[in-house]
Amino acid sequence: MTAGRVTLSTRAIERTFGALAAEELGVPASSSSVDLHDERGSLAVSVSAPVALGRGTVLEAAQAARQRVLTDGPALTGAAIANARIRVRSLHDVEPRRVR
Amino acid sequence: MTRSNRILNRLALVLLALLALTAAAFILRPEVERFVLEPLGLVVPSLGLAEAGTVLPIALIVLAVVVVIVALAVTVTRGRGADGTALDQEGVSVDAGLLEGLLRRELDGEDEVLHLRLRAFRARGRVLLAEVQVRRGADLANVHRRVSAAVATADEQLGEALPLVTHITTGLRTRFAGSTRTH
Amino acid sequence: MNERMRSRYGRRMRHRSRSVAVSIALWIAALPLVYLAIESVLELLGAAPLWQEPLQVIETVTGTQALRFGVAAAAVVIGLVLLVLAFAPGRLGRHELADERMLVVVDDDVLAGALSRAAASTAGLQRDRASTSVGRRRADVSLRPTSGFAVSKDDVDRATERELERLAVSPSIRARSRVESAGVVGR
Repeated sequence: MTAGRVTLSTRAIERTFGALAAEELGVPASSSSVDLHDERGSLAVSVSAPVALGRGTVLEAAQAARQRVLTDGPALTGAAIANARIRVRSLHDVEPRRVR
Repeated sequence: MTRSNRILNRLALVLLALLALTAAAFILRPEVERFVLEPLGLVVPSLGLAEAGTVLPIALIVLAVVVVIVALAVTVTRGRGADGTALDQEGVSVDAGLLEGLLRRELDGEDEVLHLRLRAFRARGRVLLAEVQVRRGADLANVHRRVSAAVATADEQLGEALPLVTHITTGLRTRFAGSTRTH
Repeated sequence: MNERMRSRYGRRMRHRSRSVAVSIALWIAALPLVYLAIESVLELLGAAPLWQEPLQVIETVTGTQALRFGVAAAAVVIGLVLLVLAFAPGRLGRHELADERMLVVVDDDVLAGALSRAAASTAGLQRDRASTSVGRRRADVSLRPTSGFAVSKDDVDRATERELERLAVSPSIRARSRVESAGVVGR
């Protein structure tokens, strides 16, 4: 290992991207799942997550999540990202569950 | 609402019909010659199957293989086209399930609507098919109004109005055109 | 959703796809061909045929009186059925409702239920006393009145017409109502 350089595990990188996207989508980081692929030496990131309503439109939130991964992803992980895709899976439960 | 090409289906049926009728004419060749071709002054040369040698079995094998391949292809690809993706643009894709969730939320509490299912198809461009199952004898105008309102809200929440077909049904099998008596 | 998509999807929703018929027909055509192909392979390999060599099969079928008329008749029937399937409209019992945003397709039994509902409520009857059958261009509404209380056919006609106008059904439907002569005692 080179001195002064931190290598993150794939799992940690995935979690970071997932958390970035989840924040923009208004959902818990644990609800997102991330797939990494190689694209000519750089990373192609696909994040799949639900979305919560109430922060602009679903498409705006998804686009924001994508931008967030593209801009903050490399800064936080040191990985070069060639491409990011966001797949919005379903609607996140917004109303708190009623206790019965 | 599937991808299958409907003109091609018609064409295939006509071709297969002609094939069947040709086979019948071949089997009844003496009668067809005597009663149809000769009065019309037509003479059809003999096929000379007996002199064909190994050409006949090879031709039969090739024909059977071709027909089986086409039949398999048609059977396997039939009704394809639903893929669950409502929209895919600029690095963002949205599952049909999300829109289904949005519509269900809006129609929650509407007791004439029993069930809503949304599927996404790729049939020359994406299209969504919402199947709205209603109670028998439902107030159709009201259901239509409520579904329209739900769709308008969902469009706003999504940020785009996607091509949509709404099918209002009682969930029973749709019959061929003709009268159905309903209370 | 533009006009072209609307009319294309409308057509698709209101007509049955022929793809089932096509696959069944293809398999019917494939069966005798596969049999002949098997006999052909056996012949080329010099093995004993399952029944007869392909050429003999053809000669037997075209040469035996009972067999040839039977097979030919079956082929003619299949051919004619396929022609009917190819050219019959294959319409489903569905109509479209006018809508700006989307294409709305309704099964005819839902439409019939809505007309029954409008007719019964105008006549002041329980819903199950009205029944409606919906065809492509017309709907027949029939009402069983309560004995001793006359039902105005004109009012019912107006109510069903109004309902159809409100829904803006296409292809357009004309409703005709009929009040049955025998009534039901009680409510």
